[in-house]
Amino acid sequence: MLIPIVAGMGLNFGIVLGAMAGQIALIFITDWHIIGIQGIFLATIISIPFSVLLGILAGKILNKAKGREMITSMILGFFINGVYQLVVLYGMGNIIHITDKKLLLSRGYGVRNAVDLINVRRGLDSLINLKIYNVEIPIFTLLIIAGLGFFTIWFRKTKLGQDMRAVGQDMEVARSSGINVPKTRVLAIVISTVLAGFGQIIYLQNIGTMNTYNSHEQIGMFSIAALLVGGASSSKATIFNAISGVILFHMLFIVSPNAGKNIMGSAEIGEYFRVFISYGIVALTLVLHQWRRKKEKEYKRKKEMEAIMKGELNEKNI
Amino acid sequence: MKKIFNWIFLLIFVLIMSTIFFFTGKQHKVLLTNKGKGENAIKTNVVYSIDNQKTKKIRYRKKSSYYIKGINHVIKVSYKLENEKEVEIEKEFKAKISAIEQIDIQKIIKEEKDWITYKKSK
Repeated sequence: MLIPIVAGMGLNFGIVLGAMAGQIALIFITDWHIIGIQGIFLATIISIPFSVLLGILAGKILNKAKGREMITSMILGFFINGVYQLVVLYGMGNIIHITDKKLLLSRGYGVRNAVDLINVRRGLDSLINLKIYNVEIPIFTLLIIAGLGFFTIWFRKTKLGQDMRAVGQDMEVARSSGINVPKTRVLAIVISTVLAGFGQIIYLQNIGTMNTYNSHEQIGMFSIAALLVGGASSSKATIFNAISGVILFHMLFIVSPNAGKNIMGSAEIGEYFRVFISYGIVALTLVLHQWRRKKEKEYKRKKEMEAIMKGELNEKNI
Repeated sequence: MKKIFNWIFLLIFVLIMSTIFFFTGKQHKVLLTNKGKGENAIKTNVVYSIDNQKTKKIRYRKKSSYYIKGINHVIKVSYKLENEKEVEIEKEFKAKISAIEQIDIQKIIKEEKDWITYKKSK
């Protein structure tokens, strides 16, 4: 999510594409009966080509919709969701061979609503874990998250990362300085999609069950809400925003039902409160972003007009 | 040119890693039987353990199934003789891709060679 923001493409709602790639990989490893940590690593490798292909597609489409990337990526997510459902509901078992009949619907094709990931459940979390007062801390998962965080920091300092920053600041200036703007933007989306695929695999291995047709749908909104709750905006985001946002967003899930129960006498009201707060922040940030962009455009236009007027006056004086 | 070599190297590395993960993470079903034929049958209940995991018991004339991961495995079979002396036999075996391993406990006890057979899984 951070890399497209650096590249000036705003919040990438298209990370659901990566999530779908991760889920397809998990369906395959479940069918092949690859279990444990090997299953998770193999799923990660399998998800990469799917994520790259979907990322290239998304990047090319977003290049045609410059300035409207967020809404385009959201709608693209819905479109690819349709394709994903077609492949998983009709193609798997029909065109794509599935050996484990338990995975398929009783009609003989189409993957079941829920895929049991019991064989890879907590494979990553339990690889290295620390037990403190009956609380298990998944050290290996935390190390992977830290590694991905350091990768993002390192990536921003590379030539490509600097190019992305230049593209994010001003596309025209970046183009005139010799940067291939469309390619850089596509790469930003590809990296984001691949990392989203990894994220979905890490998330689902922790849960241990996969809702084939719904698990990926909320991921984009959850990630964006968490990032914005952490203090990021659609033009500036840091690792700190992401981590603090995830902690705060999860805290909302824990606190709000209790808050609702204690204040209003109903836990359900707390849940409505959580939805109101988290998505309210998303809406407010997007409105503020758009408002600021409008103000900046007006200011720029005013400056240009002033410069033109000054130029005309100078010409008259001469 | 260096870029192409780097990509080829990366691709080969990923393929090798995928193959390793596939073979070492593949789950296999093992069917164990403790049925003897004729007068030579050793009518005893046995306790077995695969890869030093939790022990399981199979009574005489019964079957059992077990799931294993990877290629190389060790099975330990222990049973009691008529004089209450405990005997433990350790055997190494390999799992085959897309095959169910059928282990005959009686043949292990009798030290016969074909104690493991492979049945193609559907």
